[in-house]
Amino acid sequence: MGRFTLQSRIDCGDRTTSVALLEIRELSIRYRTAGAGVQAIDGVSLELEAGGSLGLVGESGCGKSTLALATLRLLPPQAELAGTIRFAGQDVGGMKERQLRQIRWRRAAYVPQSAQNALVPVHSLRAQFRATAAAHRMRATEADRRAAALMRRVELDPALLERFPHELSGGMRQRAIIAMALLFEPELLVADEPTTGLDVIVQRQTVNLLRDLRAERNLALLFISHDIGVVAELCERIAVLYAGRVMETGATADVLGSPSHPYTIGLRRSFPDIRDPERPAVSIAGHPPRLAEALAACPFAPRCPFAQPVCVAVQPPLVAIAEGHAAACHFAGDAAAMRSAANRPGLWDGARAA
Amino acid sequence: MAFWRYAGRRGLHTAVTLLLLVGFMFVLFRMIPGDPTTMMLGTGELPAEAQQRLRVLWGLDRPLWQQFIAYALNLLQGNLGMSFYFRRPVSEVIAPMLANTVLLMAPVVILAIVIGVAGGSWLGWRRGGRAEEIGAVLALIPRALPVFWTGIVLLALFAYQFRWFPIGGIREAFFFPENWWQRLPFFDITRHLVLPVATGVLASVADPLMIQRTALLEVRHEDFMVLARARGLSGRAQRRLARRNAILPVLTYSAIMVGFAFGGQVLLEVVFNWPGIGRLMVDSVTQRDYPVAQAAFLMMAAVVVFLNLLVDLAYGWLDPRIRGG
Repeated sequence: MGRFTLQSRIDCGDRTTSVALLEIRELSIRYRTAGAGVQAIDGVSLELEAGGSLGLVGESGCGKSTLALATLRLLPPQAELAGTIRFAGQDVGGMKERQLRQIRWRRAAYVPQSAQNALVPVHSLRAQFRATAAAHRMRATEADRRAAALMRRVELDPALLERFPHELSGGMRQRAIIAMALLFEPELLVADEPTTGLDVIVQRQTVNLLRDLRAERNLALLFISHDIGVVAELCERIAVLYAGRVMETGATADVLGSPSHPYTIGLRRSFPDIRDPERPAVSIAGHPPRLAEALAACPFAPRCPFAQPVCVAVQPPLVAIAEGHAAACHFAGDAAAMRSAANRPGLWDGARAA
Repeated sequence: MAFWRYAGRRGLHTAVTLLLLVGFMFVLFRMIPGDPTTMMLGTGELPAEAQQRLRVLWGLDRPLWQQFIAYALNLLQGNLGMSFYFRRPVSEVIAPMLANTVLLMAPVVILAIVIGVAGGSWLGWRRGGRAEEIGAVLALIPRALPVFWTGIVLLALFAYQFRWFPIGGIREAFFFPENWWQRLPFFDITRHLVLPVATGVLASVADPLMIQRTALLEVRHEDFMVLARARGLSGRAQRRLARRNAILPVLTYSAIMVGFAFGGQVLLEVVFNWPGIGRLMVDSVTQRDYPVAQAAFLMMAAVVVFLNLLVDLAYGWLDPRIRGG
């Protein structure tokens, strides 16, 4: 692990003085399998300040969900962790289940994908609120009082607490989980694709809800999504993941305004631009590498239209391009040239032989 | 409200099933060659004239549908007819045997299900470990062995060798307690129950155990189990949640298990000389005692049908997703 080091501390302007709420250093996660194993996360370093927001974007299978689950140590036992995860200064990686239970939900809650059946099918919502409360020694009466208030806050009728998950729509279930996530006024909310599988209007409501909750509760948000538009709206900072590595990171405006890694440029191009509706959306030819196999020095090189021989020989370090903006590309310095070349028709249609 | 509508609909299904069952049993036993009059004497047949008189007397000369209505009406009043062999009402013949069978099989079924669910959950939670492999094999071995063999081995060891338990039967004809605990009520019967119950549990524990293990393995990978960890639930609470969500398949199976238990375990009853309904059924068929055999089969089938109704209702109670459906 740790094949590259941070050239510059990635910080975010005046927030450098505050202690990071979530600090991930040189994190590598490997799934043991019957074969060689799968390297899901490879030397990732990230930081999230109290009350801050960080979006993790990338294609399916780039390790986003693994990273999200790892922050609360929710991975299955066959996942091996190396590196450090710190939550409010405490080493999460070395904690026992007992200690983890003090943090889980009480200080850091997790909101899974809406399409998943994350709520227990055989228990009413009230029973699930109460079970969560009981796990943290909160009395049922107090849990009921808070549950009703939180349901109202997420604009659900508290009468729905008597219902079972299958009696609610996908959007309602998602709101109920968000309400439950707020039961102990956590400092961090880890949301793994919370809008995936919802229709557009419900998606919009969920995003608005998360944005408002963040503002009113000083809630830090680690938001995982493949939808750049949603991330841009919710997160001050962004990290682009590819094949379990950070390709580019920085303030959302910088990363999306002047993307400096070819992958980010391509990803940006793959979403329609509201300011330029004429511009066609492109798709990056090829698919992310299978993580069970050995990667090229730069994992994106096989799909990159700007790849040079050096890209398969030397792993590009994550270097700072500007204050708080870094990219893992040998040619990040020529980002402006790559951005203008990116408009050339046909550029993303076929990967150059690397 | 939805539950009662569901319960009503399921109750109606059960009533129809039972009616068909009674009809089927009736026809089946009438299809067997001969009728009760051919069996009146052990050795030879009655004179034809006497047979005819008996047929008229017992209503066997009437059309089959009239006979069926008479039979069904009798059945509704709890009248199962007379045993040819014992010359007593069938209900009087069956009732004590049924009581003995329940006495034997109730602990067998309860223990098998409780041990099976607990053990299966334990194994499922430890998927992949050495303990899981050994545990599954240990549970499957006695299931693969014939019941009479296991029973004879237990008898040889604990009844003949160590003399801890009696060799069979349900109670001793003249039991004289030697100390205060032998004076406890049911002491003698309990002593006689230990070995047959142990044999029955050994033979039947593997099924609920393996079913629960598989169900638990499936539940473990559900998203709500990941969220249960995220919610900070303790290991015990997580295991309870997994068990609770994995219980339905075992419940279905246990209805079938109880149904067959009511038919008695013939081999178990023979090995341990237990006067239960399984032996009565076999005897009544060999002795051509059709009213008894018919009633015994009918009762066994009815128990299965009723338990299925009960399980279906319990399903609705255990899994809210089924109530509406």
